[in-house]
Amino acid sequence: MDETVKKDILAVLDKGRELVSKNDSFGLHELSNRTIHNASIFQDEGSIIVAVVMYALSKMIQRGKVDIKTMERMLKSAADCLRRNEDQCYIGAMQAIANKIRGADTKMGLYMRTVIDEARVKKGFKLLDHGISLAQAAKVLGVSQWDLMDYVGMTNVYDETYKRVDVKQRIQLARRLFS
Amino acid sequence: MKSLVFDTGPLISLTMNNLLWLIEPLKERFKGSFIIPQSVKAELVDDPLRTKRFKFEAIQILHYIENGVLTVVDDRKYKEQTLKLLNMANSCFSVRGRAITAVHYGEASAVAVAKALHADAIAIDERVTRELIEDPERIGKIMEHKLHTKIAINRGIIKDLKKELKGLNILRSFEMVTIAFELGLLKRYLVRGDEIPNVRKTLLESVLWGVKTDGCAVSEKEIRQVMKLERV
Repeated sequence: MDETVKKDILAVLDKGRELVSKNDSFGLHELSNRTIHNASIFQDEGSIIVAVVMYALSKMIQRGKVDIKTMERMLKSAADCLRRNEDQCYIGAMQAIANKIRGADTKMGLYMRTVIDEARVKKGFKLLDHGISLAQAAKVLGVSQWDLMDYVGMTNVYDETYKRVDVKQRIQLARRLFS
Repeated sequence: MKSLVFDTGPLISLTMNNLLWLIEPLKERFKGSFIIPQSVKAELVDDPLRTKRFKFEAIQILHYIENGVLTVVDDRKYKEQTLKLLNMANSCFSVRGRAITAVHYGEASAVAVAKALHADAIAIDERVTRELIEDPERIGKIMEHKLHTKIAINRGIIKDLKKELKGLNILRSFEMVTIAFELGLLKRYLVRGDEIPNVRKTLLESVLWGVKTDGCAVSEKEIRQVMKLERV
């Protein structure tokens, strides 16, 4: 793992533990975006999973569905793996947290999108916002393009872009092709 | 032979808006082939068929493949061209010496197939691949702005990419629904009665917002421009 990425993840995990202990949903939500820059550049599982988990934790705390002590312990365990340079151990530890969240969440309803899935789609959107293509963002976050398009359309991400080709030119092309 | 190659996006946004049926009359007017690469079909049909969500949407697209409106091409034939484009696209921008993977194989495949077939256009809704074809430097600027870091832009590769993709026209689901409106294909939705004061205007506005809110990379400004253009 890149040293800068590792340092950032450790900072997020340590801060995450503190925020979980304080039941700070908003802080965790903000924290979940801390590794998105690295996730956009490196597209590494380490940065992605910590962003997803922090977001999911923020939602679960909002719903009052987090065992604080267990989560603190699991986050510490993940950080310890990383400090020992055991990347796979870290990934495994984070996946265990995601599974724990999923387990607590699915009691709410089998067919609802789980908080983890929602986190993946939202972080996928963040990658897209940073200039990564839709399919690539979907692949990195492990979501479908259907899910990502469904979410992205409700944001204003595309309202910020300057377009080289005027829409009138595009309509004229369409007229040439279909008339 | 005329052809229009589809990436996943336009078919997703048309399906989500119950407008997938438009591809049949549009194809008649187009008088050519509507092509989807195998990798695009996998994302549109094969993957959702294995899940609960979007399964019916996948079946709807499969219907148009089975009745010949959409033709699937084996993109393994174009693997070399796809990898060349993919490598170029994903070498344009880097941070701290690390190249940023901006584009996915499936998107590169749609572009490679469109180039190989000398397609009249590629139908693509997503922004990054479209900008890489039309204005690649723009993507670098977006990345720099959003990542708050200096992005190294490989101008040599960008120049080669522009040369490689020169002349490739782009169409979005946005333009498809606009042209469908112009051609009167949406007239079944011109409801009578006094519930909607200006039904033509409302219909056009609703389908344009429909494709936007289902993921087509189009701005509010462009919607206003088209509303003005269509004089409804």
